[in-house]
Amino acid sequence: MFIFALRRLFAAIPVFLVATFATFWGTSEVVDPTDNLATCQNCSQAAYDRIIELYELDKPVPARYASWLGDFATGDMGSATSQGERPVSEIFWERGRNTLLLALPAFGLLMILGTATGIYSALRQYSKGDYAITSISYLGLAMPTFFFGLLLQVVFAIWVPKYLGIKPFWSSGMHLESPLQFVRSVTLPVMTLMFVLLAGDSRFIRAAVLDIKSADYIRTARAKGVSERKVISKHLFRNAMIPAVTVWSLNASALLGGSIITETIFSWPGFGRLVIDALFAGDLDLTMAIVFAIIFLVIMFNLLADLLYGVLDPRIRYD
Amino acid sequence: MTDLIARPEANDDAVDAGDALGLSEKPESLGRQAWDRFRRHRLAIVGSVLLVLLAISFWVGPYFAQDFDEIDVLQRSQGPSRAHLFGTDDLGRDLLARTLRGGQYSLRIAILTAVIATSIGTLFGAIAGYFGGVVDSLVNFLVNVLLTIPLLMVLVIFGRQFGSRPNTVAILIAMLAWLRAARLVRAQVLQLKEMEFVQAARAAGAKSGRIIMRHLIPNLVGILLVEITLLAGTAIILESTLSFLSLGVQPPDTTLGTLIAEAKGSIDTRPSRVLIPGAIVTIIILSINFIGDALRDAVDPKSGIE
Amino acid sequence: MAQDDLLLDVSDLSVAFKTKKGMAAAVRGMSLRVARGESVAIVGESGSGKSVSSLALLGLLPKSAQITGSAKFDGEELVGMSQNDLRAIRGKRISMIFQDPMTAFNPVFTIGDQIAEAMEVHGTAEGDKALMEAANLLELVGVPEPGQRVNQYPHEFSGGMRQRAMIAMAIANKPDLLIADEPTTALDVTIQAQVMEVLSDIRKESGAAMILITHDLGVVAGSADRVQVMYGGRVFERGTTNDVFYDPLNPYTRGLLRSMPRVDAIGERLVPISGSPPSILNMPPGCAFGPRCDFRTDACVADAASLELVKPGHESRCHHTADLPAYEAVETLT
Repeated sequence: MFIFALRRLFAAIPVFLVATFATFWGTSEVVDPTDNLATCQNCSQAAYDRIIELYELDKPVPARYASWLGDFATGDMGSATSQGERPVSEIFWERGRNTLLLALPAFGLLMILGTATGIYSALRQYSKGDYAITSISYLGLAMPTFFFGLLLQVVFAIWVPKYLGIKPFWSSGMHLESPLQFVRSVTLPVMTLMFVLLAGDSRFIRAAVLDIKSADYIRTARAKGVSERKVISKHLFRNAMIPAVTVWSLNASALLGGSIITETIFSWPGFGRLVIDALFAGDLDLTMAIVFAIIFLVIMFNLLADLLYGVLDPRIRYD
Repeated sequence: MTDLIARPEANDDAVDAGDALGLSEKPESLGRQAWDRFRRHRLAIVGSVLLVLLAISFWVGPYFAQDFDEIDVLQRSQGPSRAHLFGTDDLGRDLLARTLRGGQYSLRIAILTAVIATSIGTLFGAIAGYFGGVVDSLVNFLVNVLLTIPLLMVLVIFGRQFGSRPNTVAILIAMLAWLRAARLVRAQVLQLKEMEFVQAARAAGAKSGRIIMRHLIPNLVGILLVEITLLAGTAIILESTLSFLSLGVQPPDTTLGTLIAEAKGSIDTRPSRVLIPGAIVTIIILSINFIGDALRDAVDPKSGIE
Repeated sequence: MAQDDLLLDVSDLSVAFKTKKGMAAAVRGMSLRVARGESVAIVGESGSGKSVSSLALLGLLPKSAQITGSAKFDGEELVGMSQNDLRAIRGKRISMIFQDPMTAFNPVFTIGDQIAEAMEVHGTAEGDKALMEAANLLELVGVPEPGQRVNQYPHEFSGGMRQRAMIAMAIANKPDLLIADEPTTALDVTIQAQVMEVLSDIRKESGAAMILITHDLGVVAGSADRVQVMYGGRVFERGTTNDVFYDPLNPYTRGLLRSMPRVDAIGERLVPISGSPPSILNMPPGCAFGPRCDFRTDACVADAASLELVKPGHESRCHHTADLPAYEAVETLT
């Protein structure tokens, strides 16, 4: 098991390097840190030279990548030119925490709700509940995340206060003064982050459970005299966990990507908004730090999923 | 027979009991069967009609509406009126005309993206599946790398540079959206190349390129059609998202996503400016997904009605 | 057979499925009697209703199935019995052995766990004791190194070993009746014989009765006391194995025997039955086999014959029993 994990880790390294190099290269092509200086009146040639030197813009991309990676590995993430050359690491951890405040609840809810609705839908196929879940899922799959977020804002920040005279949730900004305020401010963004993914998860798990439901081994279990409840809670559920892990690992990367939209709509000071701001400001170090972090997390989640498969599915061999 | 008995709790398989028992009615032609299965999906019919109606209004409507780019400073930020059915934006441009134009561009980009992405995916998938070995590993590696980088992140990074015109937006999205098609085609090709007719062609000395073009691709037409349809839906979502972040098609031109982005600021006063284009996007994708599901069922009856 | 020896008495059993195209009659008025310790084979092509009828007995059919008639197991009526009561019988007094051992075991649990579970749900044994018992059962059915095998997963077993494990699971609670549904169809020919031998040894030891469902007459010959041939949901012929093999009365049975390859008939041509089995949605009027039968007359189209006793213990369903040519028996099959 340990060897298996190690092997997967090694296999992930080239993927990580190529993915990060590709984004580094792409970003370098697109983002020009000297852009801002062109419009800056008081900026001197010295400032310009400093930017060139800071980002080693006079060197070829691979060399810049290597030196950046070296710094990154030693914990030096560079400095954020768009934020008064504050160390990137400072901003990174602060904004990262804010993103997790949204992503973790969304991830947890997705795990529970996606599996629950998917299994329910499959077991009660063609029932009213299944039709309801299926209809909502179709809607969720057809709605861009940003539109769903704006829809929530229209409903909870405009219509509900207007017609009911109360404003149950914050529709903008992060409020951490008390647990109640926290809940009030994360509710809408978490729903936005989750909704589209939930629809996909539910459909995927439904399809998987429909397959499992009609598998021969389920019939065998019934023929042994196993009770219906146990057929579902043991034989069916245990097999349904395998596709569920697939979905969860995909969710992890989708949540990080989706934070860009959600944080923009709800003015949430996290990674997603930061990466856009940094990109527009030509802040190379800051942009790259976030991109790297996201790629790293995605790879880690894939690795975790692989290990979980190994635990859940005895057919997967470790050697 | 085993299919039938394995589902004691299900009430749905009654429909297929005859088939499951291996006793289906007299065989009909494959095309006929596919069409019959497609027709079973009433929602797909509704979706097709809606999509055709929308497309007609997007392409024909502008001839009857005002110029989408005509600025009328005296009519800025007006609500709906007889002159401007959807009202006007902050520059005084007619929102109905802009919505039609936006819809047209969104659909155009979606179709273009779907076709390009499916072509790329088919090419990579077929090559990987057919040749196997090192080629397969290389393609696999490429897919893995692309899967690692969140799609939206790449779109954001490159959207700024390449996202300004409809065609470049389509190519940009397609460069990232071909992965699923590649995987599908690879799996199919792996299966197909073991089949007798391919083996026979190879034994007869046919070249690889010829086998891929003449024997493999034609057998993939069904799943590719489904893939193009579903990808068109994905493409609309990605395009509108990119436009929403102001990284897509640039003004004065517009897409449905751009319209929503422009309306975001006045969401408090005029939510309809967000809701109308948003609803249109949703209806388009919903219709596309219904059609895609029906097509998948028609092409591959085993996939079942979902 | 004496009344108190009778273990299973099925009479006039019908199973129909509700479909969009109307009712599909899978089993039509079937009867079947199995005495304690006896082995009865049900033979037929796919769609003959042979599997559906046995699943109907155990309540393992989908809800769309409508089951009528009577099936008394040791005096208890199974048709209409509650799922709870049926569950107490399933795996305990009546066990099933399924066709494809590849898919019939749950891939994520060990073989030992799955055999032990059969005992645990019926309270025969618990925990480690059940697991130990499972190892004993594996040994009994000829799985080598049962102590290790018990902790292995289904994918680590070969097809033949898996089917042996399936048999071990079926006999875990010492059932009175085993229903083996095409137990060897998915296996290699050489393994088939071994598995049938295991089944027959096990039965000798435990005295369990068996219903052997198969389309393969070759499997029947050595392992069944009586044979019941089914077609289109009906019993077409029934008798002792010897009677049915050497003196088949029904044109369909004769067709089946002629289409079967035999070691002793070198040089003889196999004669397939022309046509294909009827759709259960669209049964031909009268005799279901009519359209494929060489002896069809107007009477066959008008109405189906009833199952009649032709000789002692040997029944057949045909209007033309009396005027069929004598069957040219080919010697030796077993």
